[in-house]
Amino acid sequence: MTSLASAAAAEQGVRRRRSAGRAARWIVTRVAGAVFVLWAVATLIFFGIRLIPGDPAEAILGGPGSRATPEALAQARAEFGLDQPLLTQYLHELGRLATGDFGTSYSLKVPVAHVILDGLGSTLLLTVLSLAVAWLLAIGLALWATRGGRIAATVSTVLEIVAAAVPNFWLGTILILVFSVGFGWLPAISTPGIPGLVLPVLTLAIPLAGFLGQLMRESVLNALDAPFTVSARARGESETGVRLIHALRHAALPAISLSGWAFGSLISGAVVVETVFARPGLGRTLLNAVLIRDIPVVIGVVMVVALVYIVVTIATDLADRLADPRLRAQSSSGGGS
Amino acid sequence: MGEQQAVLGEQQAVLDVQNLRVGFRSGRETTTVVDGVGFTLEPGRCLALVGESGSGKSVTARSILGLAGQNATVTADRLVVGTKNVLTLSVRQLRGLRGADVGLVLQDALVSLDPLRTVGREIADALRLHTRLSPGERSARVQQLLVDVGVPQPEFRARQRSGELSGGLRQRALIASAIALDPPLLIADEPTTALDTTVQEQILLLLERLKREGTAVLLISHDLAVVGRIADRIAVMTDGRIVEQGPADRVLGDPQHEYTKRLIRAVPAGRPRGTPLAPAAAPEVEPEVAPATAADAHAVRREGGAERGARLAGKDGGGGRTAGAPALEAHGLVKSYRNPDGSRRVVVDDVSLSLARGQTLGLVGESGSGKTTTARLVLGLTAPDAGTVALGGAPWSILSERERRPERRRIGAIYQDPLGSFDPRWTVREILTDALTDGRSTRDRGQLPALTELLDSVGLAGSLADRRPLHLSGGQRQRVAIARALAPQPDILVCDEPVSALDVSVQAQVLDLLDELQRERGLSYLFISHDLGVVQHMSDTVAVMLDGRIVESGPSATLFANPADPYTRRLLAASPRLA
Amino acid sequence: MSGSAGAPLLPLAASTAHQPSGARRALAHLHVAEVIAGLILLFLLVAALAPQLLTATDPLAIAPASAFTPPSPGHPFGTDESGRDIFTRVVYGARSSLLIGVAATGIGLVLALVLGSLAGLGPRAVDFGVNRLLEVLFAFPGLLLALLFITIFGVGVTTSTIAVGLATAPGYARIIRSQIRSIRGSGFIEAAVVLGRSPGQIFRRSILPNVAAGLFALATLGVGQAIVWASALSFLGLGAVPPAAEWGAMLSAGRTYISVAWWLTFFPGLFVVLAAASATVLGRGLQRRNRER
Repeated sequence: MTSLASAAAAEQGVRRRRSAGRAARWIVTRVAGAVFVLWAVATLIFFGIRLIPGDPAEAILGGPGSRATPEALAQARAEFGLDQPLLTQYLHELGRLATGDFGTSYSLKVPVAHVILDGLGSTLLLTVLSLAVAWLLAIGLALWATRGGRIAATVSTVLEIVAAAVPNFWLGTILILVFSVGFGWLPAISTPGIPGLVLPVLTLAIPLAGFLGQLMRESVLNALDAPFTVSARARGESETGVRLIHALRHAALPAISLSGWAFGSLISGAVVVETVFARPGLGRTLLNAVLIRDIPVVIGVVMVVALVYIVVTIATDLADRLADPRLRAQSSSGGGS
Repeated sequence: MGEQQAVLGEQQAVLDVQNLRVGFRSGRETTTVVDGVGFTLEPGRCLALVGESGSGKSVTARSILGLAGQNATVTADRLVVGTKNVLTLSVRQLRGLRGADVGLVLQDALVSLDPLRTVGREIADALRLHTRLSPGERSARVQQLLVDVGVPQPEFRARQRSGELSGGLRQRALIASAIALDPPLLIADEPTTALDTTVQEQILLLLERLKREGTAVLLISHDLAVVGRIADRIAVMTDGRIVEQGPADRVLGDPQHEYTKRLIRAVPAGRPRGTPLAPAAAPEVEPEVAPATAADAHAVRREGGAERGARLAGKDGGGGRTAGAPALEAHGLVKSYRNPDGSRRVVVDDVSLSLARGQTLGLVGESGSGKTTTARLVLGLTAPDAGTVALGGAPWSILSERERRPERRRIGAIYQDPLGSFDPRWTVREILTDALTDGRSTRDRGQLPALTELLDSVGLAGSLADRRPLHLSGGQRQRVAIARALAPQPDILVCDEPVSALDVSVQAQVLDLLDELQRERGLSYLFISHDLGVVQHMSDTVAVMLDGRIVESGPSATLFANPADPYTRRLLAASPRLA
Repeated sequence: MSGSAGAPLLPLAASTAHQPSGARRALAHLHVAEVIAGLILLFLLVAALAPQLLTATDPLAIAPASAFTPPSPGHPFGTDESGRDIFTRVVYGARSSLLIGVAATGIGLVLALVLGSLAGLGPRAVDFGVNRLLEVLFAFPGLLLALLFITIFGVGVTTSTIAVGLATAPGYARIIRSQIRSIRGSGFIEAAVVLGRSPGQIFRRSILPNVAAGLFALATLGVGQAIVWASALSFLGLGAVPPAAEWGAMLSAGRTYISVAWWLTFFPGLFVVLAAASATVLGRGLQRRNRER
């Protein structure tokens, strides 16, 4: 017994050290990976932009239609460093991006950083709120739809299809038709404040909730079939207890894993929703910049979105590991006997 | 069924079941799964419910807890636990019964305990639900329980999850969660099925101790040998009925019902090499053939087979192979893998094997002992770090894959999971045509005679040829796998746990088939199993593996009669056997 | 089980081998939803190939007198601000939507097939490289890659089609890669090696057909997604431009009159939903059938 006890104590110590080492290694790997991806994104964009036919200096001055004088073009080239060798431009650009300097907007003639900061808060509020609402709806849906019965199964299947097939712009338009034009309860144009947020958030959250809810429904059903829920019931656990203590936790795992992806889809959804509801934000800024080819703004927004997205992805992976202890141990899985 | 417990003894029965029927509705149809089952169980006694998959034994057990399922209709003349009539209890009262009056232990604690929660919390749940203990008191009781079931360092273990514990420890923790409230009745549904032999022995000892301390144990198992270790009475179930019930010694020693006899005969442990385990009826049909004729037919077939086998064994294998060399010889095999942290783990360590022509070499060991890696080395699927493998005296492991490929027809393999070894898109016909044409075609072009012959030789009806393996039974799938392995007419067959996933009677048929094929074709087998009984029955020579090494090897008879290595002795002692 | 040995040792679940007759099984497996989805797609296909069979009107014909007619027997979906028949325009819009959907999915899948097979079949170093590239592409969530592409190559139907294909490729590539990897690691590939099959034979006869079976379902699902994405780009003014009869563009143009004529936005959007939902239902059905086999 004593030798057993000391062996277990030793195992305890080893496990603790190993898990600390694993966590540290995991964080270092992830951060290094993020830096690499950001560098690659910047490089990809820099050289991608050079593929644009025509003279960038002309674009700065308002496109081919602007009939800019040669002097003005030369001045623009000097101003934006376009007369330098490509490698110099590239290194210069990387240096600027690393320090958060995204240059000056061609069209607005103000620093891109200001333009982004103006829109970032509003877009983050919209997407984070939508993600939260989608989660709440999905949990409710999953719990309701797993009580059995044909209706629940049918509703959840329909919702799954809706999630995959209903475009944001149409859902937003229909919501406006019903709640603004029809009932007149909520503004069609997103005004500052809560009422203005309701429809945009719903537009983003409903399809996502359908998707997450379907995912959770399946894993709740799997968990309710698993031997450990039989054990729990055999212990005297109530059906509610089985759902809340065991099934829901298992159901949350795949949904947590996909939340990073979901956040990304919300950001691109924001481009559409901000347009539908005429709501100021990063999405609309980006769309306008794309339409008038305001390159520095496009680069700036894309870089910032990539950064936010990478951070969110790492955060969801972290949440994954916190929610599922099996993932934490995975990297050292040896022969178990 | 008709038999009643004549002597009730001084104590009242803890469990009284009479004429239990359970049916499952699906659509408009109702399937009866349990059909008039009855038994009683007293404190301190153990009743074993034995049957193969689909016999209704688990459904019977769950009905006692009111957990047969939503689509189940449960009726009974009596279904009484202690003083409570399970059939008339409300949902709330049923919850009071579960855990407090009856504890349930399932197979494989890895998934029978919530893998996301610590075992301490899982055990404490029973206390939370049925007592008013404070969290502190609960955790003290949890640790006491863990000590009781033999888990050292309970404080530390209580904070771990099922995936972090070894198979034995987590099964103990599962038992602790079932006995947390000291229920007078413990139902154990295949409690040792996923465990290694030595661990299984420990769990059986624990259950036996609980029984001695006064708990009534209802043991559900497919394994007669396991059941014989601790059961006082045995009830044999098939097709939802109890066909025979009585004291354990009597049922095992002097079985009355035909099904019981067949089940006992199917247990390979302790049955001499070459004795058939299954009645020689058409396989997979399970008809009630009169035993005398069946035995006669078998004897005739065996004689013919033996002659042919002798003839085949006499002829030399041809190719570059040396006459008289063993069919397979491995020398000093070493294989290690890199751990994620960079250290190396030696999985196979200096393993040498020699398989004589026409014979079977049994390789036995518990999980993680390196058996499967050895099989992969022998099959040339992984290159050894050191050591060599030779087939019939010709080099094998040192060949490049390109050189080895044409020679591969000499050595075939069958696996524990035959389904996974078939391309899911192929039918049986396509699988076998592919094997017969050496991979040139899956379309049957005039191969019909060879194909029918092949199916016939493994005892499969030709009508199954156009099915996909998914729609076959476990035994049929393994027969298809054997047929595929035989198609290129190999000398050697590597069998990696070929019967571990099968029911006892199907296992018996497959083992008989392998035996027969060996005699007919002079095949040499490398037979890998964790089951000592199976290996003993099948092998001429045996090698025992532990932690990547062979601790002992020798002729089967000698090794089992006089095991020299302490581990072999321990394994042998822990291996349950009949009588 | 010794974890690194890798041989498949999963215990089998006992399966009940019952097999109803072929015809009955086929019928039982044909869900009502799939039949409806098939009919809708058939209608859209006819609309795309021969719109004049479904409507006699010209989609661009202007009739200012009958502007903003609500849905009625003469104009089942109503008319727009220039009096053009919405039903006719929706029918004619099927062609460009289906074409964009199929083309974009094709582009995405071909790119993905190249990247996915390289990673799935190639040596470790190639797998590593492709995975890093995919990681970089995944840093552009959803539409962003498409927007970047349009910024570079300009607005238009062709660019937006390529953009959608490009934006969906990383996702497909990852799926294809993991499919190939899981097939490569499965028991039947090992069994084929033991039987002496060459890598070429294994790839042709075991890996390729199994991947292809999944690809068809994936492509069907993909067409639904691509239709939604492409219409979103048109809605944003980055794809087809009004007065072209394209669902996204029609919806965008109709939004100006949302308070007076709901049908301008409702019907074009409805058809995006119908097309995408039908493709989704059929794709799921195919996937389910692949699983059951």
